Amino acid sequence: MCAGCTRLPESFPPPRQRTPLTVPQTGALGFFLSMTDPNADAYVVKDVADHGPGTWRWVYDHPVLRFLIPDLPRLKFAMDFAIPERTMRETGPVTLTFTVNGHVLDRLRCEQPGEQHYAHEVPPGMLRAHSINLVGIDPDPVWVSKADGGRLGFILSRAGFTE
Amino acid sequence: MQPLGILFGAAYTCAVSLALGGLLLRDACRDPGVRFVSGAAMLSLLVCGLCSVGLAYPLVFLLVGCLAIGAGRNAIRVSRADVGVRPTFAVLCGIVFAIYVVLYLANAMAPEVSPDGAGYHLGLVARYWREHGFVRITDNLYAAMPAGVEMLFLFAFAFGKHSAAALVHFAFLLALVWQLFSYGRRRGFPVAGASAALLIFASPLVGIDGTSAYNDVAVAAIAFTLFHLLQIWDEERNPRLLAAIGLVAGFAFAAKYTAWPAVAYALGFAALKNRKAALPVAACAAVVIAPWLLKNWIYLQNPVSPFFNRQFPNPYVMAGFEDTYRKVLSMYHLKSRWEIPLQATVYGSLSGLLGPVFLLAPLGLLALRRREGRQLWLAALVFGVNYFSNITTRFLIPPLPFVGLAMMLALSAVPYLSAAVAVLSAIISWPSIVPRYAHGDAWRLARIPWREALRIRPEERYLEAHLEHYRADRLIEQKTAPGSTVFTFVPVPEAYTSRHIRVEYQSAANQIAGKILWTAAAPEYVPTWRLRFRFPRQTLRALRVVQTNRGAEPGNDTWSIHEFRIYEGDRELTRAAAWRLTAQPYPWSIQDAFDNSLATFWLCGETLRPGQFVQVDFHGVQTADSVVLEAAPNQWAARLKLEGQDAAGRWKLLAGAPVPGDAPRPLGLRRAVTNELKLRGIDYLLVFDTDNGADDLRLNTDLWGLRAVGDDKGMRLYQLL
Repeated sequence: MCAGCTRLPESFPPPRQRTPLTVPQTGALGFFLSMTDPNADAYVVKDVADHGPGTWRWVYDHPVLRFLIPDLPRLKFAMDFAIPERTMRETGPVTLTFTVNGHVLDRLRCEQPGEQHYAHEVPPGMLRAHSINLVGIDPDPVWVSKADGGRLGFILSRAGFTE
Repeated sequence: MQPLGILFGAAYTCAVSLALGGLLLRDACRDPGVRFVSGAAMLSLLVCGLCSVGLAYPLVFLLVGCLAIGAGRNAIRVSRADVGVRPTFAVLCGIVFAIYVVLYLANAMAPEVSPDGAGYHLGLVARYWREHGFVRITDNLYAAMPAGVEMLFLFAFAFGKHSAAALVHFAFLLALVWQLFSYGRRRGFPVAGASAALLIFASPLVGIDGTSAYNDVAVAAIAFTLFHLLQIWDEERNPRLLAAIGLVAGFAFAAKYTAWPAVAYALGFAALKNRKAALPVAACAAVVIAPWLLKNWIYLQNPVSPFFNRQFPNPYVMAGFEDTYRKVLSMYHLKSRWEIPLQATVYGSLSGLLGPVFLLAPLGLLALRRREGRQLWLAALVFGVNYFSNITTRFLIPPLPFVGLAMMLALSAVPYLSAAVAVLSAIISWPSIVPRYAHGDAWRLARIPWREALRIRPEERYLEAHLEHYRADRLIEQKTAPGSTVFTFVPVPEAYTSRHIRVEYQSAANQIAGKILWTAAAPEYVPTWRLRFRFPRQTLRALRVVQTNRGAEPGNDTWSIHEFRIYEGDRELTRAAAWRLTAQPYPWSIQDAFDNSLATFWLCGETLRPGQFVQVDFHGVQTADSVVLEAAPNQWAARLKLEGQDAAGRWKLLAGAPVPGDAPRPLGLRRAVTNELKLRGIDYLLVFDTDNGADDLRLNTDLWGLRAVGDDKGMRLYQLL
């Protein structure tokens, strides 16, 4: 039995390095935006609030985001967002129209307030690999402040392309 | 022809065992039950030796067997003896026994459909048979269990395949009940002996276990043979018996780890009576035990694998798994151990029932008034001492004969009572009666499948109807190439497929493969967590991440790292060949945290405990100011700190906690996982619809780099491309 006692191996050298998977590089434009990312502004083309509490931001009438897409066979556009109960009480159901590079991808009718996850497969022809792709998400209707006329669409936490 | 092959395989194995037992014992003991079990210990050792040198061939078995039978042919002849009980009782007993023999013989001869028998007992036997001996198996913990009884199954399997092995187990049942009677007769209580024999023989669990390719009844027979031999030696002090006592005690360990007290019992008994007698007993026991310890030591770095992995650390079974495994076996689904008496005797939800009559077991304590009663209860304690390590009712079978005989000894104080109780037990244990009081899930025999036993009805249909996941075997056989390796989360009957099956829970490598699969299939396993430790820029000789929390949930609260990256500013330090990586515990997968692949990871392998660490030694100095761990978010209980070793060799705290962050799911992760599984020797995945991630595999087969090659009722088979 004692002969069976084995010492733990001391240590190992680093192994052969594998080809890395596609992940957004810190500080560079990638395929997925998280509002926690310090580089989030790089993804914003227009109509997204400059600041938020760190994990989300408001978007306005016609938000447009940009992404750098790798060459992969089948991608989905995914988004984590929320429509507050307070705004929906006044606007009623909100329809989001998604466009990719100017082409309509999908329409989503949101009838309930709260946090939601959206994902939709993108036809391959709609995307341009290794270049900038623009994604628009138009909310209709938007909430209009009676006090100052400010217009708010929905709350965006994360958006981008996934498999 | 097939029934003849089955009968020949079993009868030949029994004949060789009897002959070897006769050669060993000669005139010291002529009891056929004792001779069979003692000879079986020798044959098991012999087959183990042949497997060790790769000589498991039918011709070799024939030659060895013929030599043994030739040398010990006189032992096979069984002389008629006076049974020592009243003729009416003998006839009544004989009729009940005969009815049960028909039931058991038919079930043993029918195609093997027991879960463990068709799973690993015969799955491994079939593998050894295909390989003509032992092969190094590191991905199936059952291959590490001692296989003393399975060696006999292999001898029978060579001629009669699966059912021959089950019949050999049935022979152990016959040897056991015969000895219960013969011991009682020898001690002057033949009616109690015969009643106990009938009580044990008719027990529903003993019946199904003893007619399946399991080993619990064999262990019971070995235990009783050891007891019987010790009692005979105590009377006669024939030194020839000591060798048999040692071999049989060793055989108990070789049959099942939990029977190890047999060795202590034999040594203690012998030493108590005659100190010098302990030495030959110990030597003979060691001869039978040593091969199994050596095999595990050589193959798995742990002589008692799959247990005691902290004492014998090895890459093949994680200590954390062992903790969970022991915990599950010690309680199963029960809320309280007070449920055991009724479950074990009446309801049967703990893998079968002994029979309601065993609720009277406490009456057996009355037998303590007699010396024989005290000896029986001592043996019952010895062979029952490990029961609470696995509370399935099967683990009560080894002490059961002692308890049964003690009960009948006590009841025999009232004329006819023991016989009446035994006959009543036989009546209420009949397969058509048992469902009236047992639970529906109780493991038990259902009927006399004589057409299937004689192969008048085709084997295939019976297997499909009675053996869970047999259709998975057929799917695998039809759709995969010979020599392929199939990974599955759900065990399948390995005895009916020639492919290499890797079941997730059965080894560390398989568990890691399963978690690699979940890395892309289950959101909580996707490496989207980023834990960044920042510290003032400095020169360091080594870095280590230390875990400081204690897990509340054994087996579940653990931690892992997909990638361990070290930075100076924005620049990641290149992992130099001189670096040395280590971890505690489970250092064997540490390289997977430094391979630049998010599909692989280092896994702690144990429940969280303060002091666990992952360390990088630069073998020189490096300047750094941050460390990023890329990990999965399924480790909320882990608390990590970063320590560094300065140029003077002193360890100091660099960061008390990391700043957590998120990263998106990497693209191409599914394909990377498939490639990794292929690298780890997996060719196919057998996925059941209920498996975690089954839907993702079905919906995104192309993204995984898989090809669906077949499906059948709730399961799919994928080829890794």
